[in-house]
Amino acid sequence: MENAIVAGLSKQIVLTRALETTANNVANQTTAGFKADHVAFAEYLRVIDARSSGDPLVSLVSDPDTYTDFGAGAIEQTFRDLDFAIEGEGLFGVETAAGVRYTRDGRFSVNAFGELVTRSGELVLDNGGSPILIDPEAGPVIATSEGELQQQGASVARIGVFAPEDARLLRKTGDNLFAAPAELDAAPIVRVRQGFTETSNVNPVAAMTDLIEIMRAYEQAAQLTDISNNLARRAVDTLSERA
Amino acid sequence: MKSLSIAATGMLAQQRNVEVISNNIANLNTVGYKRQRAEFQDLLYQTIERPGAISSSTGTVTPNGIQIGAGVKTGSVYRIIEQGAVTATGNDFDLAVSGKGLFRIELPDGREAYTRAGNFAVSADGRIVTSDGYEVLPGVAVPEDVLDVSVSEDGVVEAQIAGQQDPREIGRLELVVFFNESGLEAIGDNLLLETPASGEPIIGNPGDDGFGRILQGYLENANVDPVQEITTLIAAQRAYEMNARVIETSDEMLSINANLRQ
Repeated sequence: MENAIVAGLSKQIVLTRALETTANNVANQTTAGFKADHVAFAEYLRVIDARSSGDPLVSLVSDPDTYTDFGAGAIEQTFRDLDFAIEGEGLFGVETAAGVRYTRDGRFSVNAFGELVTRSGELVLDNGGSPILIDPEAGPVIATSEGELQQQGASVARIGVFAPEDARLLRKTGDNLFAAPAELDAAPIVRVRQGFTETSNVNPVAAMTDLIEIMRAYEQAAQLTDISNNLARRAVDTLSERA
Repeated sequence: MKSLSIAATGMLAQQRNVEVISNNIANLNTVGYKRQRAEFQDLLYQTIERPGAISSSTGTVTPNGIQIGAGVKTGSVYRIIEQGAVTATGNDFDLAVSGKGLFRIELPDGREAYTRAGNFAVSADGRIVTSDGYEVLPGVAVPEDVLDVSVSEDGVVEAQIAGQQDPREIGRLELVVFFNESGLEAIGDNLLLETPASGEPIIGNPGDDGFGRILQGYLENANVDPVQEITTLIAAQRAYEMNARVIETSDEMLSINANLRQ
């Protein structure tokens, strides 16, 4: 009987986590370059009764994984010279105090020293891993589709796009940034679009249906606990009457 | 339940978004106004299990790990420096900048402010001033018996004085540019101040390399696009609603818990 309660409880814990993940997706549906997270459920098997056949009698739920959906978000036109979106795979490199981080949020600007920075003021890296300097007096920045930045026809830098071998090893660190286990190499062939930004890839409709699903499943799990509870109470009642 | 606070950050962000949009719409007809855009970033993540952690004695690693985000924050409210359309007014002291550059204005406390709003006028003592009466630097004195004032594209101010054949040069307007114009601080009244983020002002003559030209008899409109603002507003409202739904769901789940033991 306790097993049923524990099984229901394990499901409720996992569903709470799923709700938190969905809540974070919904909250970030207008965050540029945001990648949605999902929870992968898994059946967690445990042999409870070894005297019988040895088959698992109770299976609990566990959540070994949240995984990030690296699918592309929609590309939105912003008409700003320093907004960039990557077509296809890869991330921009950003120099932070904690080391190199990666982002799909290409809304950059120029700081007081003429360096290309993110909105948080962190340096954007070129394909060699060094900061990019823009001369504010040399006119507008034109980017080729290969990510080469030009001012007055002269090449200034080539914006770095870094492609991880396994995107699953990227870890989110907040501020639209990802951390990689080791520094990534610049991708040889990239397609960068100037004047565009990548929107969040959260699907609001799917998030809403997820919410309904999570709540119903939570109700069911609670009912399971309730039923087991009632059974226990009835057993106590019935047995005490006999006595 | 953490999802309550996560959804609350989402609602706060959309509220901020609507505030920025409403300020843009309110300034639809403000001369020289530059629209703003709220930009969001995801908040911290709680890593429960790190991607790549060893998950068994045989050395298998978890491919993804468990990371739970804490919601969203407003990363910045960014001013979009983009040329606004110009409207002809025919007024001699209405000046628009076509291209980069701001006018320099002297505030009453002696500080310098910068503006794109060129709806100037002449004060009682013959100085070119803003609509609030602040002097436009470097200061141009307009003689009393003036018939006509013309401002050239490169900022030279000439006055046609009664009884004289040729117009006389009475001053030259200057423009300033910044490394990061979006980093200027707005103080209202269409005025902007220098900040450490904007960099030092670079003063130059209109028409020079990297500086815009001056158009006399024109004013620069706000660069707000009403259609774009309204569509962003609709998206913000829907996003707000969805975050509210998350709160509702969390609340219902909590009430299920509360009713477990009857």
